[in-house]
Amino acid sequence: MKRRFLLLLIAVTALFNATKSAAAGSDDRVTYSLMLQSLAPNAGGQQAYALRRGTDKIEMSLFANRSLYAGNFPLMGATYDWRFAICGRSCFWQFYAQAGVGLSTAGPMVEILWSSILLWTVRIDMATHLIVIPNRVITWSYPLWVGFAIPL
Amino acid sequence: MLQRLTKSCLLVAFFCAPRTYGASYSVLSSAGLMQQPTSHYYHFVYGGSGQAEFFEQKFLVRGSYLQRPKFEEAGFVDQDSGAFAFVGSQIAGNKIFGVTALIGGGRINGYIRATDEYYSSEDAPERSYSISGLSTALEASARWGSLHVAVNHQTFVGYVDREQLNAYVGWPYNFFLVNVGFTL
Repeated sequence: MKRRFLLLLIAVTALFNATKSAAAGSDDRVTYSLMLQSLAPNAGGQQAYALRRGTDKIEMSLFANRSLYAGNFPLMGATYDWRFAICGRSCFWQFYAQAGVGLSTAGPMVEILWSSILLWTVRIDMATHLIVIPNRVITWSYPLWVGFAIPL
Repeated sequence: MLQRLTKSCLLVAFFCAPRTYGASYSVLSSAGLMQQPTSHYYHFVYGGSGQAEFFEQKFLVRGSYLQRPKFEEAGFVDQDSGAFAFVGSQIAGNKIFGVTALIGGGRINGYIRATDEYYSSEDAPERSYSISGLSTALEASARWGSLHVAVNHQTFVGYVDREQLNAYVGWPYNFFLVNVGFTL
């Protein structure tokens, strides 16, 4: 029942956006994304959450990773990305290369991200974070980071 | 006969391409750092790539090879290497400065071998791995005449089987490279 409802939701959203995209020219419309679970080189993956707000040109995000700690708190941060649309919002399979800067509870950071949004709803990212801490730069990967996109 | 004809046609197409499709060919040498999935150390890597660009860098094809030097310590020697194939496009910039996005796949191989006689006599004197997967790269480049300089970040995500996927396991590799080469 839950799966059927989810499929129906995806179908309705896709249909809605397909008609809107056909009518739209240049795209400055906003998509909100909620990222929920990422793979990791250890069993169990990483509980990493992000709320992202993006157009075809830029994307801003807030994220928290419950698998990593900066001091006593889970790693949290915010990023601002420049987005290069390989196939943008009007495509049924969107594909973006992104590069951005941000701040986290561990230190300043750089984000390099590839995002793919299928049927305007299912989002899969490949993300790399470079976090500058005293005396070194930490590279942290989110090999496949899965979530939902909500196109407005 | 047919095979020869096909080869000849391909050769003619290859050499005529610059005039027809605004194509150019580049050879690049690479040096930089690699981070493996289960390690937070950065390893030195080096390698090279060959690239064909068409339609004024709107479409490009690249093959590249990277390896890390052999590391020998405490009776063991180990090394990793990877080969990748990409298609890409310049997504921002002009003829001199640009940002290029590349996507493709590849394979990373590695081994650890016992060189010490004591360890060599054990059951497993050598262990190796080979992992195929998806690879993406984002590159900022500059060109002066035929000189081509680029700073590149490449991610490789190794294939996971169903059992690993159910356990949310992934195998990410990161490369931070400086590419220097010439356009022919």
